[in-house]
Amino acid sequence: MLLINCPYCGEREQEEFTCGGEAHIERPQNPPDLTDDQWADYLFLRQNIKGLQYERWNHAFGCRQWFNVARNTATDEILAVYNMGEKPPQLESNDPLTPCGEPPIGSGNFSTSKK
Amino acid sequence: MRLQNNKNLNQTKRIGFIFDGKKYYGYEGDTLASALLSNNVHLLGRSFKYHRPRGIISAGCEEPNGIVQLELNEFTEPNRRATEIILYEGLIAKSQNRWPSVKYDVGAINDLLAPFFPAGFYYKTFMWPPKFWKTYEHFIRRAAGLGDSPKKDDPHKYEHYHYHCDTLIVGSGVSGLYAAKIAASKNLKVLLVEQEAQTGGAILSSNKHENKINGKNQTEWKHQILDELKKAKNVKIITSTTLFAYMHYNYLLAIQDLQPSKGKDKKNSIRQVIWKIRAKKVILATGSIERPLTFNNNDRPGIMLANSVSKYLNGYGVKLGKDIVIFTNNDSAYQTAIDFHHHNINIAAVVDVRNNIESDIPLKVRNLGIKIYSGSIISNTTGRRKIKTVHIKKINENNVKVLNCDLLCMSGGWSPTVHLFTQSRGKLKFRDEDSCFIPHQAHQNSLSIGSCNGVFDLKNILKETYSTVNFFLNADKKDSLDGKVFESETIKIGKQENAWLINKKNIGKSKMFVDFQNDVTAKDIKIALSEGFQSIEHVKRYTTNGMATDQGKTSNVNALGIISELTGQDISDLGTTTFRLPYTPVTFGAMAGRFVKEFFDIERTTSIHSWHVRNNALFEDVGQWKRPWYYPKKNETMDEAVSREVKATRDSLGILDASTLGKIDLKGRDVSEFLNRVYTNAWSKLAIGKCRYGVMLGDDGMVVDDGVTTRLGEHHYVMTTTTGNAASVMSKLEDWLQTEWPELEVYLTSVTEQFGTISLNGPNSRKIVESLFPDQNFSSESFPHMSYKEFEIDNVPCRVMRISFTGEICYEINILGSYALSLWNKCMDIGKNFNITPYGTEAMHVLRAEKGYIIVGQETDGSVTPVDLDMNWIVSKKKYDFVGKRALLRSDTVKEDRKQLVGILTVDPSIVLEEGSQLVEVETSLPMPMVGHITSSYYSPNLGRSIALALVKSGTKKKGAKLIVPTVNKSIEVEIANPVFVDPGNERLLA
Amino acid sequence: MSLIRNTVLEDIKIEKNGISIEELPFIGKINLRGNTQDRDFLSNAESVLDILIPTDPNTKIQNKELQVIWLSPNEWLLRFLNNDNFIRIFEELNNKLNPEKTSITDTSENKTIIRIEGKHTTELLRKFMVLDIDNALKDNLRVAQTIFIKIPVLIIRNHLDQNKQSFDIHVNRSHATYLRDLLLDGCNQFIN
Repeated sequence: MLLINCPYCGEREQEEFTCGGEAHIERPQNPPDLTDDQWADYLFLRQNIKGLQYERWNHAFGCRQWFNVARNTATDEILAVYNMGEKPPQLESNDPLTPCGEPPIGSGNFSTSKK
Repeated sequence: MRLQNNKNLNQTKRIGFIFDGKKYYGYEGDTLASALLSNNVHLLGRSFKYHRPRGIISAGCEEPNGIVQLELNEFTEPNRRATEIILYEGLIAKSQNRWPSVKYDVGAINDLLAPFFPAGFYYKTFMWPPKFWKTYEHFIRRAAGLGDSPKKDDPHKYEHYHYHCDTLIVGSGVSGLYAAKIAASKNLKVLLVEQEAQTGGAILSSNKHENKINGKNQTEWKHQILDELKKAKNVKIITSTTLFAYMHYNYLLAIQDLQPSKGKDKKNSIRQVIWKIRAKKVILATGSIERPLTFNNNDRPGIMLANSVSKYLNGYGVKLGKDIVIFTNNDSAYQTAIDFHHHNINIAAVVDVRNNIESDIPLKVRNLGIKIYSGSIISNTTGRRKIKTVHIKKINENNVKVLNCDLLCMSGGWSPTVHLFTQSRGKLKFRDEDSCFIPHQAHQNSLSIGSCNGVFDLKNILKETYSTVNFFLNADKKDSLDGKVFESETIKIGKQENAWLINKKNIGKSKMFVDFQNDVTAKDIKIALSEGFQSIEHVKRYTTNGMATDQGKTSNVNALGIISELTGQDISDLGTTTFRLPYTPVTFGAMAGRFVKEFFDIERTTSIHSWHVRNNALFEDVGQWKRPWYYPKKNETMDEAVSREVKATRDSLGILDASTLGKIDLKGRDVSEFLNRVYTNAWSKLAIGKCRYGVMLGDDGMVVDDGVTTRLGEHHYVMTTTTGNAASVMSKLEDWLQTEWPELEVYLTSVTEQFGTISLNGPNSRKIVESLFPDQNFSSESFPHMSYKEFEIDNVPCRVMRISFTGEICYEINILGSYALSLWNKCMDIGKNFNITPYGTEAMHVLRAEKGYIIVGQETDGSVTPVDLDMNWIVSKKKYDFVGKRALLRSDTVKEDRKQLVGILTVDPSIVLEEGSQLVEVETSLPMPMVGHITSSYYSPNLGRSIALALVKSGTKKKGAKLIVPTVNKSIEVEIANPVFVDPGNERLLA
Repeated sequence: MSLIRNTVLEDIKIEKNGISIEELPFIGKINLRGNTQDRDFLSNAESVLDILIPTDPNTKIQNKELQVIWLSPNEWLLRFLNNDNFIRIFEELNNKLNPEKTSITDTSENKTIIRIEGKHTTELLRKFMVLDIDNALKDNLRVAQTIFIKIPVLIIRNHLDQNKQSFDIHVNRSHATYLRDLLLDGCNQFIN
């Protein structure tokens, strides 16, 4: 369970929030002029990053405000929280070293073959 | 046998309990294990696979063998560890996995058949042919069972409890208590969690005369610290509480076991509490677990972990043997020899695999005159129900010395309890010198101290705890050192020697148990390796090592050691298996907490609910709402009741509680523009006092909601949503306003529950409103369909809308919630002369289906556009954009053969189709190409026949075509029809 | 037959195990929305209400007649403590504030208020609430919108003195019966 730092209410439990998916996808201003591919790009295509991802979150059971979160999806670390309309901050994340993003020892995802 | 004057027990208070039908006595402070052992009960059960006699080997949660069925009937709990059950008067327990009794067990034949039960036996034998599995399953399940699961409802209560603290300390041994003292002195809110009933950790098992802290013996020191902590207001200590999960952001779960209450309170008393803890910082002081040694026949009752034997002796005053042998590869077990010597109990021999034994404690043992066999091993043991002899021999020699004994204490070294640390995603490293995994790099704000951090001697534990805890808890990183400095004397400790496999050459012919609970032997591991399993994770699954209810607390590292020895690879290269949560098993009751029976799910009720209950309504769950489903009269079936309600509404007057519909108040300059964007139709020209139906789409063009919006003023509208979507629509509208269109001046406020909504339907509904509001004109000229007015009854304002979901004249009255019940009663009273009939959701569904009105979520499933619903009329062609518009022009959404809404009539009018039935054009061999499915199907009492709605490929163009509904027994012929079955010309609606 | 008013709960007040759970009678409530950047909005609203409007998240400001409770950066709950001036103020707000840029909505009955008092109140709430009560409601200026199990609630701390705990829970009227029954179940036994 994440602990999310709402820009207004401070740290609250994840249960109070809903996630709105990838951030910084703007609804096109001129939908009728777009090709099917361009529209599909806006509507369906998401990066689904393993690692640093910018997401929209809503403090649904609190102040009902939407805001952006920079989260490492592999480790669940929240690296930044920033307001709607702001540019994403430049961040570095510790990307996962192993296939399933877990530490090499304590996960068992090491085979007996030599490193 | 019990020693007198043990300080941890209340030996003035004798407690009676029953084990396997026989009455025994223990003392207050005993665990079930210590009480049984003090009564010389060693044999506690039969092993899982070979049904070998097994006894208790440890004194804590790592216990693999001593698991029992606790209590009877509705109170029964299987697989409880005897080492963790605190003794109480009247406790009833029995051994598990034996038939007919633990002493004579039929399944023990498996032990003689052992060669036929190697690793992977079940995989290999019962896989083929697949259809035989049903035959095997019955026998395997019966043979493999541990305890019996309860058959009756558990009458206990279970609780969840949320707790926030600055510092959580897990474990109350020397390091945990010391850390708590330091944290307390820094004025932090501290929670100290101890899994055992008593605090103290290793202090409980340590000898009272050795290892003093600042000159005090450890028990005295503990009581001094505890007294201080108990006085501090910022410290909370909970015992009998096991921390079983360590998740993100220092969110941890612990389960607190409470003593069962007695007498009449027994049934509703709280049995267990799950603590849901959010801590700013976590200090892990979880200690370490002693490892068994792996030698031939190492599983007999009476073979136990050395430190646990000391704990029974020092902590519970239980003397476990007269002729004692100790077998070790390290110094710690020598302490057990000293402990027994203090009580004048004879140690027959210490067998040590090491040749050079020169460190402090072994020397002390030698000086006591105890015989030490250095460079030696125990090659075998005998004794069926309890150990009788051990065979001692020098490594690499063949001469065997047979020694009689009734207790064998073993120690294969120590494994730090790093389970929680790794659950928190901390990284481990392997320390070769004493073969243990120790914390290397924490992932969260946590600190490991004491023996769970691989620090085993008291002097260093005290020193490191003082410095690291102080540093860890200092928020400003200043070097302020709080808490008293505690010290202990230096003890020279000898190096441990690895002894993963005792007598490796003999592995093929021996029974060297690694995982006692799942009956996995060293030989099984060897077979797994020789069959090509390499990864530790694969070996684990193939042999099932570490997969029992104890999750391999005593066996995982030993299994790694054995693999390392057999393959010649370093353990650090093997890695470990995952330490999964929960750390110890958690009952389903505790997980469910209070949320069972009447609290199973959240329930919402309307202001009129009590009337529905009094009038025998049956309820349907719509989201969390309890909505009246239908109101059966005496002896009426559901079909009869629904038909009566439907017919009465069309013929005269029906009344529906529509309070559950979502209502959103919209205010501001740009509301009409906002509505233009979120609905498919045009809103700019809606006059004040008029209502309009709208369909809301997602940007994928699919219908997500529908409802009527009314304009109350220049800048004031109220929108209704479907019952189930009220919250999600509100949230989506807020999303658009906050993130995409912040330039729009629109404010939303949910007013769903401000009002109770009463819907009066039928040709006589006008008579009721005329009676309620005698001064008003309800003719269609002055109050037409799709319009709104505000009136008053007894000075209470009412919002009245003439809108309809039945196709009849309908007035929906919205009144303040607290008056809704009273208004309902008034309507019922006035309506008597018109056969007013309350109807539920089922009749509502029939009525709207007769009229061909859709229900979002029934006719739609997230893949249906308004065009598919034959509702082109509601999709504006003029608006440049609205949510979903662009998607309606995608190549897929404009396809002509999409599934479209049609009516369906069965050729035989008496057949009511099943909702969800598939429609086909011709019957072929399977799989039949299907062209659509039934979305709604009812018997229409007004038409005297069945009706249905369906989504059918190119359906709108196929009116009149014949289709087939294939069912198991017969094929039903149907015809595509117009979906409006009643009043297609709207004469009734607009009358 | 004239209309009568009904409370949401059939038993308005129940005491159990040292805890009192009571549904307060419906008194006027107004949901007020507007932009704090708009100086007219704040000054007009404050002059009608004769009280400051809190801009600090999750706080309230109150006088003898009224609590003004922060709900979101552009939303407040005006909770009247008596009905003397409710209608007058509701009308004055409508007259003084710009209808194009504000929202003034009567929500008197949208939620009901359940007051919990007694020695074990915080312990009782901890059985159901994930909120860090000691921190989020550390003084009686604080309010919090949060969840009670999964039910959305607004919780207000009334007490100054930790020994006289009192909280008001604003909850959808439809959830009130379930929430109250669950609280009562939780009163059966206190162990910590």
